[in-house]
Amino acid sequence: MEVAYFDESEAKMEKTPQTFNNFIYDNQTDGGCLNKLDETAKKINAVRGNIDALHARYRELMAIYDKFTRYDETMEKIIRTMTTQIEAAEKHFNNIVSTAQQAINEHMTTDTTLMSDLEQLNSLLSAGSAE
Amino acid sequence: MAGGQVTQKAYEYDRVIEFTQSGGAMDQALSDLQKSLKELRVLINECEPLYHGKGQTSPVYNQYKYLYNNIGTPSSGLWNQVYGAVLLQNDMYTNAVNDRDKDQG
Repeated sequence: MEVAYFDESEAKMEKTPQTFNNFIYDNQTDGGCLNKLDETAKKINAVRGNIDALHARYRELMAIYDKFTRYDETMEKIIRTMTTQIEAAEKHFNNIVSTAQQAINEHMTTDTTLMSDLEQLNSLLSAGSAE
Repeated sequence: MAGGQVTQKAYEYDRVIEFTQSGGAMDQALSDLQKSLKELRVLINECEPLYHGKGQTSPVYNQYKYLYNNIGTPSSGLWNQVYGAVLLQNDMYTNAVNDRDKDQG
């Protein structure tokens, strides 16, 4: 019996980066890349929270069984792997922010208005490492 | 003890059914995770036009690629684990229903 919700089309969607023929750091468009990076950082944290919530539900469920089941081991493995994956995702996201910082640093010599962008990117990285 | 056989449930399968059925606590937790994963993928997709490097050899391209790989598909990354959790939920539900039916004759 299949009862669990599964977003198959989203899961199966090919996930590859778009290829561009130029460098763009867009802080002019409404919202700009800083806002989008900030939203992405928050969403990564939301996914982490969802994994923690799922783990809590698993533990409640396991308490219903009065003996060891093979489910327990499988569930813990799923949660461990999910945690590893979201931590790796966060690391790669931080690397994206770092590349933006480097790019801005290079442009700072000619455009000092980017100083505030640099500060915001620094705070994005600090927020991530503080958790 | 004369007559009938006293049986004892191995576990509270009614509660397992309630937990694992469509809309139950476990289903809800897994749905929330899937919703967030989709939103994360969309956000990264929206980030790309606003911040990117030139070509497929730029460092930022590779980081986007790794990030997408972590989100993954039913055979890799986080979606692979979600798929495993979905199969597990279906299995637990099916077994609990079968155990209940067996108990109720």
